[in-house]
Amino acid sequence: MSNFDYIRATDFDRAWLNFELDLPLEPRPDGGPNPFYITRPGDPIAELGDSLMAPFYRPPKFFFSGHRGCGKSTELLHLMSSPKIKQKYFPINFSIRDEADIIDLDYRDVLLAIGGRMFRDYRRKGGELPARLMKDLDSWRGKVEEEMTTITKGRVSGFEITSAIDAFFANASMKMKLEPTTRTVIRQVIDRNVTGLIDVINSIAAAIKAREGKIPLILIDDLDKPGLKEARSIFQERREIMMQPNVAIVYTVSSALFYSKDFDSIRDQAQFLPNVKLHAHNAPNQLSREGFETLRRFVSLRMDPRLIDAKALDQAIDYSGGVFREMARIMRTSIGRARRRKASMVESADVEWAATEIRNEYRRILNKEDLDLLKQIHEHNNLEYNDRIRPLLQLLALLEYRNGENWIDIHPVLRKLLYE
Amino acid sequence: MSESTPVLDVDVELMEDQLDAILHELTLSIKWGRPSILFALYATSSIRDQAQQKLEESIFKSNLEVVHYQIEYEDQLDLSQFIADISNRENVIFFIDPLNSNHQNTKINLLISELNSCREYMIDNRVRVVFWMTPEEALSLAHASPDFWASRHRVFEFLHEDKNVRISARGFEPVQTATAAPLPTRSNLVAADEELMDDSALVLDFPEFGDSSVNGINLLLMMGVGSWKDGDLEKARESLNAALKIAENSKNNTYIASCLKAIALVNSDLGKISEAVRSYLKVIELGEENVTIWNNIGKLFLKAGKYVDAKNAFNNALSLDATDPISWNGMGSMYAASHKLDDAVRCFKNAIQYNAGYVKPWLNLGDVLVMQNRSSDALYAYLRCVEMDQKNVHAWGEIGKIYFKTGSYLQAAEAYKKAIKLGVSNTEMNSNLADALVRTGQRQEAVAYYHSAVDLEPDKNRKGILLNKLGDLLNNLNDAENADAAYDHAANLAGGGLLGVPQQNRVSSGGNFGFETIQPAEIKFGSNWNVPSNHNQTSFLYETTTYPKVELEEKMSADENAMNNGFEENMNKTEDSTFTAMNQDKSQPQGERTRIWNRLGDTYLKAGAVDQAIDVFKKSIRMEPDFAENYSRLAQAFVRKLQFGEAIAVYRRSMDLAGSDQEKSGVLGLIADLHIQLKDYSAALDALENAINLNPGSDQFILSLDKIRDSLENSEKSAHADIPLPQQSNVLQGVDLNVGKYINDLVA
Repeated sequence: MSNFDYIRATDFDRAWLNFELDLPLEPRPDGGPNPFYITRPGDPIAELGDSLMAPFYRPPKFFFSGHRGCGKSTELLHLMSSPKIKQKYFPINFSIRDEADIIDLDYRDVLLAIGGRMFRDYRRKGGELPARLMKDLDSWRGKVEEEMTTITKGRVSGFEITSAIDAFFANASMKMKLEPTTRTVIRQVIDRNVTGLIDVINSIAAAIKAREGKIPLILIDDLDKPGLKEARSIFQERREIMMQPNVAIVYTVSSALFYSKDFDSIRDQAQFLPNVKLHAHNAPNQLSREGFETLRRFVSLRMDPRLIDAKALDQAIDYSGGVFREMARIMRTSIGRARRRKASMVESADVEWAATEIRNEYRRILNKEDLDLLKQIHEHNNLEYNDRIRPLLQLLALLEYRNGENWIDIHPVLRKLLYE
Repeated sequence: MSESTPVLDVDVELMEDQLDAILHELTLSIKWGRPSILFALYATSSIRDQAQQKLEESIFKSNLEVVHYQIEYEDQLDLSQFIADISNRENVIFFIDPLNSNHQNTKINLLISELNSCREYMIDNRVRVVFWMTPEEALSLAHASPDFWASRHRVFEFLHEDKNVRISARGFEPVQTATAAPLPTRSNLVAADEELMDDSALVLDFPEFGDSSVNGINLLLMMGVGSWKDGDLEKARESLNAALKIAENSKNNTYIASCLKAIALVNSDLGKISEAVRSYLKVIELGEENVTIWNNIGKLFLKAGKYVDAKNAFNNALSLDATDPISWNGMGSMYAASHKLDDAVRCFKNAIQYNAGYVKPWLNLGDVLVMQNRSSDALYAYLRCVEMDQKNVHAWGEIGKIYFKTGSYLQAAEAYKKAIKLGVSNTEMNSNLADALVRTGQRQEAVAYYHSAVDLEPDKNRKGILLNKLGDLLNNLNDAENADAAYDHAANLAGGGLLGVPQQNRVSSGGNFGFETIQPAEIKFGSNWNVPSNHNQTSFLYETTTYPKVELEEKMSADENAMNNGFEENMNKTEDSTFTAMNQDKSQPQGERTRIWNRLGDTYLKAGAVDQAIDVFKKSIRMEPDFAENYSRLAQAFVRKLQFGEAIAVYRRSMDLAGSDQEKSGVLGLIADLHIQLKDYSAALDALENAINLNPGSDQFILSLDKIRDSLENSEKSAHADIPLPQQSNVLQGVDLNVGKYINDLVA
């Protein structure tokens, strides 16, 4: 995304661009926050930052979750660039999509990715690891290759010519991602000696700490993309192993996993990035000034406020439910309509139009039972994690908020649908 | 908030508005180089087709391309790979379609899983894509893959059944019933273009009515639209005329013009061509002169058979924009209808020149070329059609006919099957398909198509002939009982007359027509545009002439010559056609000059026309003899024909030319596979060893190597048991000695 200019729009064309739903907000090259970044009310990511800054006996592991589009990746990037985090940790941030096939993801893939990225990123940033460690790693590499050769009954393995450990990790990552057959073989090899791989990770981490005086902090993005089955197998069935690396790790997990009952036992290690609260719990008319102001700032950083009528903006915020992705969707659709009718500013009719479009989308996918359930929830706002609610949360028909305790409400565009 | 946009409380937007909105989204995403993931929901396939066609036309006008990914035609779903293979994808809009046409797609679950895996790819690679789906499919998608659903950028709806109409929008939704369009024939080209006229004419541009004084116009227009949607055209005209009166009182030319355009449309539907034309002319008098209006007038005149007036109208359109492909296509249709075929060809080529992605002129060109007996050129034009629009039943039908005529029965059968699968079926198509199947040995399968042909044939005599054919076939399949039933049915139809089957043909009488009787007569392509009144004279089916067998080699040679000398030459005259330009511009990157030929070859391969594909790939090699991929393609075609020796030789040249060791290794792997097919394990081992040396990371080669060694070990054991080792194939002897010469001979 390096070629994207984060410039505030003064016309609809640019504004349309700035409200792209999948726009990543990477920090500036100097580590400063992205021009479009806004701090949320209560600064929920600060809570994760504080947890990471707290003293620990063993490097902490956290699970970071939130709805699609709520800003997890943005907040992780922001966290990584935080000076105090950088002072304490050697942060390494990557997407699991770059290292493995997210459709067929396994705990071994994640561990290998952790080891590989730690090694490669440190070396790429000019870090030198002790010769002794390099020798040990080379020895481990040799064993892995030997076992792979045994499994494949072949002669020369693709790994044999990669004398450098860098190439080994890079090669392994590529093969884990692209070659199902090799992936299976590598997993078999790792299975024979998982502790060997954990030792490798720990050795690299120890060497980095010794050289830099900082513990590696691994932030793994997009771990929320695999299916629930794969996520359960990694974070529930293999939870102990995933906790063993002697580095600090923030795993992203899907809202579906977060909402599952099995997750209860580790919920204290989990952070859910809540949506921006726009009204009080059980009091839809008691609006949150702070929430509205946050989303106004979200808009004003991306677009000249003169391009939207103030009332229309408040309507858009209300309809967004405090979800940044939904806010971007409503803004983009409204801008598109205003642009098409050659207007000079987005007006209430444009926002209503966008809300109607989204409402119609839900109309297609919600059945009567869903609507009845949504109606009940809208009346009491109480959150219960159960099988009926989970898919509605994933579809953003229900939105979760935190106000002391967690509570939920329907997507605001659905109000009209429920009571029509 | 301004009060300038009265919006009725509605749930649906009109098609034109939806299309306009999609186009805006896509335009902006192209402008900024950003991804766009759009969902388009449609109620019926005819609505989808209509929406797609209009959208495609607009996209083509923007010099962009549309590439369809049609699930039902894909053997293996790999959307990311498909997209990655498109070299100019930054200028391409992908239509993923249909997700599940007629609810017959058993791959829907696979697709949903596939969508999950490719979503991130599409975002990362800034792909512009429109997923077309029914509301039911959208429901399935949302529940099976909520994450993917949540990742959509926008959803557009094309659900015409909704009566609740928004009139603040800019255009009318066309009145179209959801019935399947009849199969167009080349002789109803004019009629086909009338459809085009109707479609284009629907692109109105109503102003946003801003003040209360024109709310009356708004309401009357809404009523007019409603009546029009209900098919009550007279009532629609009444409402629209009333709207026009108010608009005239307001003395606002924009409103008046909008009403007139709407009235023109309704009059056109009512068959009141003169009145429709008058309305358009008034719009021009009001100062709103543009290409679309003149095109619409031209099409109305064309419909009325007033060719001189049509020509003048299209000329007026072209004087405003000499590069408008729709005007050139209209002009071409006018010439075709006037029997000026050379002029028609020239106009269609101009239309293509200005928009090579516009399907209609390709189709019309094919039709005219057929009439000029230039079937090779016509085949090329039709193949271009189906390359761009795989659902074009007319093109598939014509492709089937041409292949049938030239004796390429396998390809003919494939083409006919496509047409029939697309929901269009008639006697001739089913009968031809059955004949083609019989000639390719697929007799059992042919039975069903003869049955369909019999069912569809209304004429008693022709039905009798078909029944006799069916009887012959059933006899041949040793189904005497049903054969006799077919003969009896035929005899009954004929009242025991001429169509009664001679007793000697009945199994019980010891006789059998055999298949010599199932001879398709020569296809006689029409020499004029009019629908032949006497079907017997034009349909091969009912003639007794035996089709003269065309030698394949001669045909290939003739086709190639035609491609090289005829069509291409003519296209050169237009001074711009994609492929001609590519042929001429040798400064282009490697592979670019032959890209269009290779695409044609791929299309041939996909359609099962392997010989034709080989021809085309050979041409590519002659044009770019140093481009490895050309050889690989040719080799693949040889593999399809099970000509492994030729394939190996050509692959070797490809390997020599390949740029990287990894590529060379990949080709060697393919060569090894072919050696294995030929049971030449020793050569396969050599190839694999070389492949592994060039790319030591190729684990699959190592596995293959092990397998071969195991086979050889087993063979050795067998040898001890006096079982001979597999022999080296004779096919390859000599090939290895002088690959270069072999290739030269092959390609020359």
